Amino acid sequence: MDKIFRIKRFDPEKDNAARWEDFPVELGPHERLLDGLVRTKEFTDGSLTFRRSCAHGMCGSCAMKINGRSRLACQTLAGDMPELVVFEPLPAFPVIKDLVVDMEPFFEKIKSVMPYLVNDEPLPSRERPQSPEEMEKILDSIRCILCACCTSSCPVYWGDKQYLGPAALVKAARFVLDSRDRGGKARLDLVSGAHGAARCHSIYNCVEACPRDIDVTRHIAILKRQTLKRGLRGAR
Amino acid sequence: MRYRLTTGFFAFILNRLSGVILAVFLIPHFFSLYFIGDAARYEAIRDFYNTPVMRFSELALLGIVLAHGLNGIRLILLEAGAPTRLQKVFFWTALSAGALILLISIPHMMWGAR
Ligand code: FES
Repeated sequence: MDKIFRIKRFDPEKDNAARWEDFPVELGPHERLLDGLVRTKEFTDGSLTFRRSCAHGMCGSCAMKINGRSRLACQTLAGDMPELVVFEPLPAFPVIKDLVVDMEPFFEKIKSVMPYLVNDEPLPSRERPQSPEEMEKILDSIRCILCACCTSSCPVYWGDKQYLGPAALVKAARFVLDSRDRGGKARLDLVSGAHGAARCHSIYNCVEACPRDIDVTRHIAILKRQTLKRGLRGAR
Repeated sequence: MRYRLTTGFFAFILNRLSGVILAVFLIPHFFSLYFIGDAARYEAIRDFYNTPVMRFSELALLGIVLAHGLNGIRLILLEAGAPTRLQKVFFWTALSAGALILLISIPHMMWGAR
């Protein structure tokens, strides 16, 4: 199967602006696009720059915009793509080189919602147990791999870089819904306000982009309802 | 930003556009209400709204109200907890219901007695 990889390239040391470059790539239908990128780098142009680590859809490194949509290069089969495959860096983040973007703004948002378990109660002798029902509530959101496909696909984030974005809100919801967590109120305060959950316009680009099939907007809607309730009660 | 146009994004753009149009429309709307001072003026305004151009604009207005209102109901349902997988179904249902109501109203809006 012959493909043309059209890659948006930018080398800050040489280029003033991004430019397009085409690479012919031979790929079997069951090979991933990432295989084609790796082969291009190894045999055609060693300067081609992109991130990848696990190559199994587990680390989130290889997220990029492929044929107009944020997705993982290692999770997209050549057979599912047309002959011309267009690669661009993830939208809405500053480009460092070729397909590598600066993820710092993304991780700042994640860090800002207390993405850890808060519980000051005395330590139990073993783990903090959860019932299967309690665990069910966080089963969806714990699968997030922080690839930024959702946040980069969100039109609200394109327009408002202070918006927490779908990934950080899912992370917040993950702990808000966790039966072991006691940081609920403080965390809800962090996701309320003009750049928090209420900013979401339910566009569902995040749901369509998520490589882990997380129902992102449902989690944001949960935060919307809980922050609203808290606001109505006068934030006690 | 070039990004694939999804159903949800299309619905969002439609909602924004119709919302802005409706907000702007409210200004002349309130003005025309304000100027109804006496019976003669009322008649004049009524005759003005009875011209074909104004009748057609009112039909268009109904279309915009339907688009905005029905999609608004879709959003309220989804944010109140309706399952995400229904968002596209909801959108196309709202759009077809709106189109149907608009179609049925054409005879009355354009040629009905006033
Ligand atoms: S390389 Fe790890 S997710 Fe693609």
